[in-house]
Amino acid sequence: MAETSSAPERKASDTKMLASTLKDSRWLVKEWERLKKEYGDKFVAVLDCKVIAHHEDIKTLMRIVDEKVPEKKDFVTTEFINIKELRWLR
Amino acid sequence: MRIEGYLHRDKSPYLDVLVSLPKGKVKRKISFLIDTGTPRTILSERDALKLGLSFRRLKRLDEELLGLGGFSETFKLEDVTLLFASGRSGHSEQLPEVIVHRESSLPEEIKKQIPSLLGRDLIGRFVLVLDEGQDMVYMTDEHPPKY
Repeated sequence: MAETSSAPERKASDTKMLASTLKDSRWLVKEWERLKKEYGDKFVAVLDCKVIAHHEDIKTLMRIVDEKVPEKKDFVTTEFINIKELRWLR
Repeated sequence: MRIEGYLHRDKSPYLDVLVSLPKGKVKRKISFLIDTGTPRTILSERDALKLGLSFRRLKRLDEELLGLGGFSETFKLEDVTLLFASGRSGHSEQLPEVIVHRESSLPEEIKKQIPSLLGRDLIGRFVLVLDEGQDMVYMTDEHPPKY
């Protein structure tokens, strides 16, 4: 029978993974202009400061992510890279 | 305890959260815009789809949500766990209800840009520090002294 981790172990492992992906969120903001030229009007999926997948549809993108990095799929940073700049009131 | 976030291009403050639904079947990292003007935490349509949710299976809320863009369709998720990266063991919070909203009238290209909002039902449990000059945003449970 396969061993299953306890809830505290899972939480610690999830925390470690989540903490390690904060750099991906910051990288995405920093690289926005470059990414806009390459992936404009598409969703991108970022892991370890690299674009690992892109698609115009988020559901399709997540299917690609699930196949590509099954062990890290829940921690992938995603964002829609808009070409047309929108300014939010709030 | 400190939960670090980041500032987006327009200096909007964001926090990364691992959102888990009951029974642990679904979990994904979602980036939330910290919005002190929103009483309740709201999951946007694009992030609901990222979580793999189906609007047909979600419980509909009777109330409609009024935002700056008008009314939107609302659904609800119950007993949502939000895990934040903080220290070695992390910090988790429970929300009995999270609103999921869908703005059918908006063009797809706009809807894809609408972020999820971390509302006061969660932010209000912490001290929020925002310092654009230092490029710094975080939440902490260390309360300042009362005067």
